[in-house]
Amino acid sequence: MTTNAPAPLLEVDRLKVSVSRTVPIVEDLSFAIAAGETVGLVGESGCGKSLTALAIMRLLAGNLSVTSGSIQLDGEELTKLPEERIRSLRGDKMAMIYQEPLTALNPVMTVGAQLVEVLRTHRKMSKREAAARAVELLALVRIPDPAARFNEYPHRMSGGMRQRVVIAMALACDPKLLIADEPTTALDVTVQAQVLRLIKQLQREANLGLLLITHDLGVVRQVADRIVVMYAGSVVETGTVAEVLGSPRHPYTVGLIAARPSGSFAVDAQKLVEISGSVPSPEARPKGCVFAPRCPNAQDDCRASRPHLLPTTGSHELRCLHPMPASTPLSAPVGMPS
Amino acid sequence: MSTSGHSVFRRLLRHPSGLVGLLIIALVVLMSASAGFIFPEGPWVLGGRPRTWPGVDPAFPLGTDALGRDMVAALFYGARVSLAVGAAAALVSLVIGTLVGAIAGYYGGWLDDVLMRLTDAMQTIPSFLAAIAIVGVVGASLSTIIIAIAVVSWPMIARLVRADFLRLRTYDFVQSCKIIGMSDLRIIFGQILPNCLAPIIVSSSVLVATAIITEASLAFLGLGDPNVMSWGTILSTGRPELRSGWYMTAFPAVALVLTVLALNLIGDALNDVLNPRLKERKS
Amino acid sequence: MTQVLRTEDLRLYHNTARGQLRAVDGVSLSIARGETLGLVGESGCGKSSLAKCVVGLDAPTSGTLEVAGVTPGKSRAMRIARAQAVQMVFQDPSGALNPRLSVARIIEEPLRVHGTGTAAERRAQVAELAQKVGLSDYHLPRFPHELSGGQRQRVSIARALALNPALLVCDEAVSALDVSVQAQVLNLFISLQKELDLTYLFISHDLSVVRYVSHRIAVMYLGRIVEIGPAEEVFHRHLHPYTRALVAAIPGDEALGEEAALLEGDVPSPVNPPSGCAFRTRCPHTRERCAADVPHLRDLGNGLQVACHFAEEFIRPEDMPQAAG
Repeated sequence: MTTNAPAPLLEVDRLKVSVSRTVPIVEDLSFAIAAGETVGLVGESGCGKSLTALAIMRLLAGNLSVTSGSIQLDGEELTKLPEERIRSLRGDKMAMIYQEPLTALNPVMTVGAQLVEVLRTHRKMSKREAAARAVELLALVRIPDPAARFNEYPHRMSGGMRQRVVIAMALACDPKLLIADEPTTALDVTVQAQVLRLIKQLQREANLGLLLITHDLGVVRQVADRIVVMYAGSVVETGTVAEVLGSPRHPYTVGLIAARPSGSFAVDAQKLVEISGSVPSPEARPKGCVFAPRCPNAQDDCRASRPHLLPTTGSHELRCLHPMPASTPLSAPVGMPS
Repeated sequence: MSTSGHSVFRRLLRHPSGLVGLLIIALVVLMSASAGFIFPEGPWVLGGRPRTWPGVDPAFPLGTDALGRDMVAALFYGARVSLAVGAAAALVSLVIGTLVGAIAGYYGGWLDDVLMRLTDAMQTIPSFLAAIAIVGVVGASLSTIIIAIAVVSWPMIARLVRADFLRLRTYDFVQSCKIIGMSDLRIIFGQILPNCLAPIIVSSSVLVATAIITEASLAFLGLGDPNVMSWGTILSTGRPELRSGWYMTAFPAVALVLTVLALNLIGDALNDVLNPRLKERKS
Repeated sequence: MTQVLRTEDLRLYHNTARGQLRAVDGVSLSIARGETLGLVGESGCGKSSLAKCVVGLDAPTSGTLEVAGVTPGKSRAMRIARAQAVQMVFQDPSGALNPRLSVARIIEEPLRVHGTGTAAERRAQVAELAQKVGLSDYHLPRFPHELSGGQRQRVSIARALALNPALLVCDEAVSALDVSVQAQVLNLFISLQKELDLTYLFISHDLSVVRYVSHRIAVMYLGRIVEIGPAEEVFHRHLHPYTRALVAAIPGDEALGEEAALLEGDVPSPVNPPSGCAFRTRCPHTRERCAADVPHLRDLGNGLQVACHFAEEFIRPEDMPQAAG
């Protein structure tokens, strides 16, 4: 993808998000998304990926705040904008899809009324125009019989249909940036496949910048152009999907890939590669490399100070003093049936 | 449980309103405990000149009532009765409410329907009128008053406990207890109940306060136990003198207000201390 | 081979306001000692209902069910006998442990209920169980909220093993865990199986996980088994269109995302399941016969059984039984 394009759509630079302004949860996070590009933000629970999304949307809860760094959307510095301006950007220029489609919709309003409300908040539209556009949007997200579904309440729909409605609401005002936080995690696998395909198609059609947050490397491989791997609040490895998943260098990325079952124990008696221990809490992060306590390659210098995120080859960047050799052969591609 | 109870008490002491509440209640407890030592001849002795104003006679710092009885002695003995009635009534309604709520919530189905309709029926009766009716029919004695208060206040506890049981019985840890072959009784009392103690404890402090007020109101209306001196009794005897000696009603009224306020403060503090979500945010 | 679990035409119906819900609708299967049967399917397919019947949380409406020679019953003796035959590990590691009890007490609870040994003996047994699942003495006095998700799941497993059951039902036991921790727990399940000759009914929506741990896989759809057989046979031959859709839906393969025929729509309600083949409303190969006749499991070679009228048509030449065998 065109990572060296003039100005990216979204640029996050050395972002730091802290609890009570003292304990950092997200540290030194930098990445950019160009228009029409999909970036997959991957990590396990507690690594700060959802907080990053909330920081971009300026929806951080009370005791959380951006303590340093910048977030620029289309050249506009989001961290310093007045609340009013942010509100008009939210749902208009940038939109978000959440994991749980049931709680993202108002249970006492029809699907159509909610779409109309979003449209009329951001666009000067008559009720009639907004209603017509809402039906169009429902058709856009491939909801069968959209005119009839317009008057349906969320609880009468299945999880997959609800997530489509949430996507329709997010796309209502033709945003430039779409943030999808675990958009398919709550869905069944066959429905997940449908929704992923839909998101991908819509993203291409509208030339959206898409930030896809997920814990599933398979989802990233299928949908994203570039990938940002986070661990305990910082980026440990980033690059194109081919670079990072094709030849992962950071021991954490390698571990994540190898930990995912891709064969059968009964056939080849191959134990899964474990990453020992668990993610440290933000208060208990080590002084040196955050991954050092769980890392098979860790040495004394890893524990001494935090390594920096440094470029290797191409757009591949790495935060590791003792990475895996460049051509780590992988037993099987991520999540692919072998 | 004892260690966690201990730490709850400590955190309660560190809570500003909890500390104030506890201090006031400690004072009231002290009053009722020392009443027998300080005033061995009891609250009924007609010791002084009737209607002595406070501060006039050093022997009666808070004055005497219309019959010449010492106000201080009356307040001390009244504390004893009010606390005892409050605690006993709260205890009885806790036991009834917890049993009803636990069984209804755990088993569900028709048992739940029957018990909850009963609870609804109890809640539709105006509680103070019901208490008056019970005391009026059975006759005024301390135990009748306690029972009357308990009977009208258990439904609140029952609803609370039932709601928690409905939620907790679907938890996997309850399912796993069933799978390991645990009996229902043991699941109800050993596993689920300890998990809904917090709201029960919080509401029991309010329960005690309500019981104290109900007892005082009954006594004020002349439906109190004639053989004991409660704050309600003092209020009741002071009422005809309201214009000439308002202090006779003011002292017991202040005592009641402070005690009830203290219990509510403790309830608030307990709510803060026991609320797990707030606790997590702090740690 | 001894059968640890055997069900025959097992049914579990619930009466709901909208009609009879057929959660489990005629399931016959068996698991041999030391074997893992993986059970896959989407939400609402009846896999958790089947698990509830097996562990005794729900009483089947009809059919037979036998766990390690024990048939279900209401009496206390029956309850105790079943508890010693089958235990369960749950999905949510935090909801599965009583927040008010220490780890040691949670693991000890089954031993207390069954009156095993003296207090000292039980304490020794708890320490041994904890060690078996990879917990140390350090964890024993802790409370569940002080542990990580993976450690909590280990406590759950230790509790389930306390009574030495023949069968362990794992209902989405690794689904709530992070990938790195998931691998730890899956490895633990496998090593415990070897050490204790355990039998697993391993339930998950995640086909990759099920394929990894299972010897055999059963695929469920709307209360029925639509395909069952050796794990690799099911995974590679997937002769039922539903199994094929599940395999295609595993995220990660770019090509599948672009071209493969994904399933349309959602699982129909089990209250009013479609006539004939329940899958026909979403199946790309539906024909007239599918609405009329209920397909039954048929043998298609190499131990693979498929409930589809037209399964033979989906056999690819390279997967012919003789070639695979």
